[in-house]
Amino acid sequence: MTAALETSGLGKSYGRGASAVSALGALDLSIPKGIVYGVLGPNGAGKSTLLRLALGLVKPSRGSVRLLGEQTIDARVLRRVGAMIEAPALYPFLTARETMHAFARYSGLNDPAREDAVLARVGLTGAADRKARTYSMGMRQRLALGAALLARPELLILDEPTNGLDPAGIQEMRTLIRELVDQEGVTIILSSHLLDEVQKVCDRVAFINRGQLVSEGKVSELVAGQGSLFIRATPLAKAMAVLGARGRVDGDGIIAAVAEEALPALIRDLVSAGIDVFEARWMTQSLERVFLSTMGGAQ
Amino acid sequence: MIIDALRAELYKLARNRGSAFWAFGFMPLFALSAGLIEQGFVHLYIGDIIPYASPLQDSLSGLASFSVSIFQICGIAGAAIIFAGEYRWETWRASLTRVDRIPAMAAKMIAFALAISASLILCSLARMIVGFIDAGLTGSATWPPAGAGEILIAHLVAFAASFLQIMVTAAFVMLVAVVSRAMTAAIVATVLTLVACEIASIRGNAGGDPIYLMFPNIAGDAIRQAGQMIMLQREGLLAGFAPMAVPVLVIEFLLLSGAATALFVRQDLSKE
Repeated sequence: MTAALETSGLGKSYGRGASAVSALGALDLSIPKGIVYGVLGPNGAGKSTLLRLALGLVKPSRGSVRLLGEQTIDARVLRRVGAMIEAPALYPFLTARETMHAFARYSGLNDPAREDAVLARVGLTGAADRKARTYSMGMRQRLALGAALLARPELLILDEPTNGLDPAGIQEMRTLIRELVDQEGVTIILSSHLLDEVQKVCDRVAFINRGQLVSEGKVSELVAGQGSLFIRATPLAKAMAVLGARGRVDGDGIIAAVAEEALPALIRDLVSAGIDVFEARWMTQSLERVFLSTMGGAQ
Repeated sequence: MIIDALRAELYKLARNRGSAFWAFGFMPLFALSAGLIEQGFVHLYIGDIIPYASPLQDSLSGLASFSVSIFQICGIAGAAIIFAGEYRWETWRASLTRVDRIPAMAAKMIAFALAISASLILCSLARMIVGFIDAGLTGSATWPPAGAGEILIAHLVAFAASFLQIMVTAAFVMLVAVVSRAMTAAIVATVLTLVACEIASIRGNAGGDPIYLMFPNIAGDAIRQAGQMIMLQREGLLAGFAPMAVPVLVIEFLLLSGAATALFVRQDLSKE
């Protein structure tokens, strides 16, 4: 099965000679079809450069990129892809409906019913006849997403898709992304800084730092493993004495590295030692923690 | 694919009403209103001293609108909106995921050519209307001393002159827009270049040396004068250079637009 996006030794440098800046090193990546794939990394890591290289907006300095199995990235393959890169790219003098008309023409489409359906899907039917320049950031984001969805893409590339969205909008975006993948078989590659959202919506993720791939894998596997227990109790010193080397003080509580099945016995020990336990919370490994520890190691 | 891009370009231009009016609609409106004011002034304060008026002669002068600086500035603004707009609104990344780069640029050039052609024809019609009003007021003849074939050829030659001249200017705007990625730079650099061409041709001996044909305004004037010679039997200093002026303008257009397209195809759009 061909990958949705495949890179081999892909690199991009800006400038020449000693002043050259490497935006992307030699990146080897294979993103399978039919999943939501997250590209994560700090600012300047090379995420947007990777996505622009995939779309042919910038030319690689070295290596190669294959999009939907095609080595030559031209409109023939790009018309199978929907993309929203960085800030929404919109014509300020067009309304949402006119924006759809314009992009439909660029894509060689003539299907006004589809345009209306997409506007409804991104929640802009009521504002369809307002100029894009009057839109809030969240509305612009929705319109750009609608434009990306217009041609029924096989692959959707979304760069920070939840930027400017309110909490309800973020939840709608999450639902929409999962629907597109689970019901319509679309492949989605997204980059985001909201790691909690990425954890909820992505199947696989890649961590990129300074243009290099640091780590890659299934989200479920990355966050699997030993969790930890947060305990808020008094007196703290006495609780630490019970936990020994398993505990460390964290603010007004203690984080204990214990197995989940050992929790009841530990709490019984604390109570029987005369310690008042106000809070005991099991913390699963989050993608954010994985990200921070991975990026910390990569610095 | 070029048809898809052209449909999108024409649609965007039609919806960008304010900019499209000042770039392409203002010129004919100005030609009409300035002509009417001029006629009114002549009839009210000077009297009907002009013995001959011809709407067809006026329409020919309408096609020569691009020898007037203000009309050139409008055309330059129109070209800048079309060629530099995607950089200004950062929309290349949305359109170039739907069409390839060469068809995208070619569609922009065709859209400009269509818009400026319409504008030129409307300028000609506007001047013709003024001519008919003038003929009605003065009771003078409305047919020039020339045959229908000569009139048609003269109009075609005048149209070709202005069209080629503004297309060279548009290709220059296109090149500056691609290099600078800025609308203001495209307008300012082109206006300054045209002013430099005007000054150079005034200070030099533009009428006697074919080297001045490299300036689009001189080449355009040479062709227009040839058109006037056909219809009005009016001699022009530059008319003899017209057969050379046409290929000069065509070559300039091809060189400038080719350079712009070649740069654009290789351009990294890391940030428009």
